[in-house]
Amino acid sequence: MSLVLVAGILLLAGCGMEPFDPPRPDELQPGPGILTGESGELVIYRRGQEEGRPDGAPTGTPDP
Amino acid sequence: MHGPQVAGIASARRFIPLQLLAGFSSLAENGVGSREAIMTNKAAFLGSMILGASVLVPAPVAAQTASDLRALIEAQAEQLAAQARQLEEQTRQPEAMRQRLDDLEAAEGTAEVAQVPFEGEPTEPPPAFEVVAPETPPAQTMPERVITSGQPEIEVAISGHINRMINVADDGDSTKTYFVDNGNSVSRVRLVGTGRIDETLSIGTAIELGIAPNPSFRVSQDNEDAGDFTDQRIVQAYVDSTRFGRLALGKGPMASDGAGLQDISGTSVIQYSAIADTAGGLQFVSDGDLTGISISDVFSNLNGSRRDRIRYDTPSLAGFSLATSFASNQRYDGAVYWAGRNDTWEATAAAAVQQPNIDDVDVRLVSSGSMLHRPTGLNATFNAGRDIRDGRDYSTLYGKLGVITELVSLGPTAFSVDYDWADDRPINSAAAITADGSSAGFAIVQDWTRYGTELYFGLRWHKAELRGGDDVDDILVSSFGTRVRF
Repeated sequence: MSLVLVAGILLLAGCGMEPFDPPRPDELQPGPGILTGESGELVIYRRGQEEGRPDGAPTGTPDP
Repeated sequence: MHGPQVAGIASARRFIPLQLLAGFSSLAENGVGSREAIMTNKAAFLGSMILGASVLVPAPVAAQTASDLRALIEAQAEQLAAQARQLEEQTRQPEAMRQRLDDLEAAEGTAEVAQVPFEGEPTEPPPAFEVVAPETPPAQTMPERVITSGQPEIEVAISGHINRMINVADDGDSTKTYFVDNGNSVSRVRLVGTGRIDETLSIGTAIELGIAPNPSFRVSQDNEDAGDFTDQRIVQAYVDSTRFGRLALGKGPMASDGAGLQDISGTSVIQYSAIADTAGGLQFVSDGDLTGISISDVFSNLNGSRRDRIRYDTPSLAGFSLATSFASNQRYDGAVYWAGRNDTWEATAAAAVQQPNIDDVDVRLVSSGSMLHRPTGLNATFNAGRDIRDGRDYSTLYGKLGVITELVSLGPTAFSVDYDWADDRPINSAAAITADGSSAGFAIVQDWTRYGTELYFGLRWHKAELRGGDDVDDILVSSFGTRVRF
């Protein structure tokens, strides 16, 4: 099974696929929140950022 | 008159009447009848003309200023006209934006959302704000974006979700309804603080608290109210470098936590390889009696766990990343992750080796993968794991087939079926009882994208065969629930 997995991955990786960060099934999912809007998170404090970024804009906060 | 005076007057014709008037006015004031008067008047006239000439000398300079003033006025007039045109264009923008909003609402929840053209911009989406080239004088230009502080960006954000579910379970002896928190992804709240030192380096803290009253993996026939369940899922600090990777210290996922959970089927909220999370506390029944052997005793996908540890992840290279962690009680592991996609395919895979420091387990292996054909939504997912033990190894194999469709405008609808085998799971070492398990399931998940909500239904059959134990009845569980991101 492991050999099949490794062979499959190498085959797909060789097809010029772009890396991405898949969500974990048991973790918080990306996307909007019913209260927090598009970003899915509520920024309660921010300092030293570009002026003019609207509230709720994606912040790029990495998953812990 | 003297030549310079003539030249001065000729070069500034509009001043001539004034200068002549000044000269003749001198004659009038002194009289014109007598010779003396005439001579006096001549002198006065000439003095007046000389005085007038002295005044007329700057006349060409005055003419240039007027020309500049006229040019300036004309330039300002052109600028005002340009501003008027800009204002006129801007007054038309709200109507265009309303039209786009109507289009978006009409296409809500469909893949067309991102493709609704902006009026007058058929190929590219419109910018949120349009900055007009500064034709106006500098004092009237719009301010540009500026960095307000030289300090690093610091941000604290809160997020989380609620995941509640109703399980209706038939254990072969009775059917009961349980109101539970879905163990596939328990309700939680997360607080993350991030400090970006520069574009490549950041530090952060994360606290994630699971708040899951009556979790589905604890509720059982003789304990329908398992009570409050609070889990300190993540309490860690980390430093993250795009060049050197990520180092985390604290409680959180081990490197192998996730290696058994790769799943991009869209139904993982109610159906994934950890099948015991959905109703794992329910016990198998034999001859009407509870056996004390639960679903989670028979089935495990051997995924890693969360522990107090130190963990290092390499930067991603061509979608590959490596991770290793070391935890208390001499537990350690290593894992490799990969994820990639193009216009046609999306795929993830992972594999891990663990030293879980469990009695009789020498080493634990786990791997999983998931693949999605994006044009059709067809997808396949698998998990495989093995505990290499002193005695008989425990092994597990899981497979799922699914499809993600666009049936309604709310968002994607995902369907899937799965099957799980569990072989030789040790139940009671002293009594030499092991279990073989089989489980099959069906799931449907409706995503309500705009509101971060998923509605789901699942049906799962569990079968266990106890080696060295009694025969037990199958357990059938149907689940209804919702996960809402707030």
